[in-house]
Amino acid sequence: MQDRTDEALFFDDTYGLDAAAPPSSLWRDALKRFIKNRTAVAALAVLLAMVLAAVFADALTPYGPYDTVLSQNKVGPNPEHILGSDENGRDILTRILFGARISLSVGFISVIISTLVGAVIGLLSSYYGGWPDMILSRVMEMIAAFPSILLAIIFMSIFGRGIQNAVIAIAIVSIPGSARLIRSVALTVKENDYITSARAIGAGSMRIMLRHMLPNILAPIIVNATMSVSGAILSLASLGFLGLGVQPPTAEWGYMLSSGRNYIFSASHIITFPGIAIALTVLSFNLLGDGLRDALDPRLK
Amino acid sequence: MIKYIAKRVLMAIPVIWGIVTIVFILMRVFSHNPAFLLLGQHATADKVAELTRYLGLDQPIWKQYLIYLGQLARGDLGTSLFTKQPVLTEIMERMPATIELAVFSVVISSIIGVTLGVVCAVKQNSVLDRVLQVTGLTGISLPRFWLGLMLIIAAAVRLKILPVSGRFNFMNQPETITGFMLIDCVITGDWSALGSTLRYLILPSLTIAVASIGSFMRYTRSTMLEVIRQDYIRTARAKGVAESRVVSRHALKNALIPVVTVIGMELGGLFSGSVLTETIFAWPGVGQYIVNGINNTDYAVVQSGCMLVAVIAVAMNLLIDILYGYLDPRIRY
Repeated sequence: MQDRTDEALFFDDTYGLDAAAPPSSLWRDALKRFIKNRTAVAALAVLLAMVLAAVFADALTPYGPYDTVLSQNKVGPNPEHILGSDENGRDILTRILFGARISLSVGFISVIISTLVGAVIGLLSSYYGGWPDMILSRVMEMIAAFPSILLAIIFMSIFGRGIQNAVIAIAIVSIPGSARLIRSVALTVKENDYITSARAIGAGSMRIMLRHMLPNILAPIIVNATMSVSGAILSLASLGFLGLGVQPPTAEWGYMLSSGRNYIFSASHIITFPGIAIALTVLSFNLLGDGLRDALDPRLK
Repeated sequence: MIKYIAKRVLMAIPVIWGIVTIVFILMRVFSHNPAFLLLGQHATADKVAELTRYLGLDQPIWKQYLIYLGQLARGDLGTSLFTKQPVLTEIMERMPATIELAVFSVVISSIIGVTLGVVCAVKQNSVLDRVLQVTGLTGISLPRFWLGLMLIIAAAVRLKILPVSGRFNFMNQPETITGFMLIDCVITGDWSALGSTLRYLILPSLTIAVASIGSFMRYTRSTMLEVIRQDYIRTARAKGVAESRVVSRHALKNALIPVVTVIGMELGGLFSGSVLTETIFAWPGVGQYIVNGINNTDYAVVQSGCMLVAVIAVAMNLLIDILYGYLDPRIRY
């Protein structure tokens, strides 16, 4: 404490206040609000359970995702196969658990990519304005003028099935949405006095964008990213259903639905459970996103 | 206003051109030569080369691109490699099916969605509001194609009350006048065909509506909550206007303006064909047509189909903006 100068003391935000009182930051307040939202906490718990189940899938089930027992095909739910078996006698619960690995990782990775690219485009557009904004906005409009599933279908049918291509296709179609959102919130932040003062004391463009603008638009970015994961999981399932997702016989939810579709009249459990898995995951991400929005931006409540 | 519209139309040109170019590059540079598909797997190399030359695909890519742009400029959208029909004709034949399904679903979902949204806003934070909120979000979260299959199992197979696929009954269809079956039925006064056609519409439109109802409901709720806090609502209540009238005349009218935008965007999206719904119900619409084109590497179908879809999207956005200015006189372009 001895080496503290008067100046440091002056800028210390506990100066003159009760030092024992915990500092209350935006994020801490948000956390408090989030914990009070029971639905959102439940959604988070479901998602955490799902991640754990996906990671420890091998230990949770005695079967492998590709173990075929042809004599036991299309049997309904029973003590041995809790959710029944599919047309090749594979255990459906096992395939759903292994499918969670693919859906969750494709969802996360594609959203990370689209959010990062969207943030770069949105920040550059809003910061520089003028013709860079004009060009970037028009390019985003071009991609957005396509129905996203159609663009993803074209991409997958040309470059071929596979997890990596699916991630790229889904990321590309979700970039315009995140770029547009980030641009619009960044535009409002840019007008704040602290940006002007940062520029006045000589901060460079990079520093203003990354240190002053980005932290202040992080909340809507996080909410949007959470909601986008659900969109990405739905897109992957749609591609899988059309036969354009992962390589068969990979255990992926959309592909499970597409191969089980032929038995919808004779063994409807084959398509019922993977669909419920998709719906539950997507719903949880949406509820989590709702909860995060209410927590991070109380004005919207 | 006219100046604004002209400016928007001019700005749409580079966007459309960009889409045309992107699809052209994807299809012609990266995808396979359709000659292989057309001739089958036993084709000789000579035959493939001959057909490639005939289709003009042996030309340098920039030349193909210029030829293609020239065709578009003359309003020629090309002919399908497989059916040999002009793509424009084929798309126009399928457009009524897509539009009929889209309009029918959106009308149903906006009536239900907006009503439920108002109920939620009026009873904010009540048990009913919470239940409807989660139900709506569940509707949005269901994969549409899976919901379609579940509806088929429930309504068509278990209960045997509704047809599972197709657009009409061959034994009971109206004379084709406009291509819009419901309208044709009414014009010709063929009421039994109208009943039959409506039954075919129920499952596909319900599949689309479940998600739309959820999103319209959530959107109406949030705009209603915003409007209810305005001063003019307090004024209306203070001067003794009945609460039901405050909600219906003062609040809803103003809250609906942004909702109209969302409904218009949904409709625009559906006009380009709901690919998965059309696939599941064998609905003969535009979405299915383009996807078949993609699977067949049918250049003209994919290129022109995507261009039309993009034109529709851009035009819908413009229409919504104009409508917005009309509904809300404070907005001036």
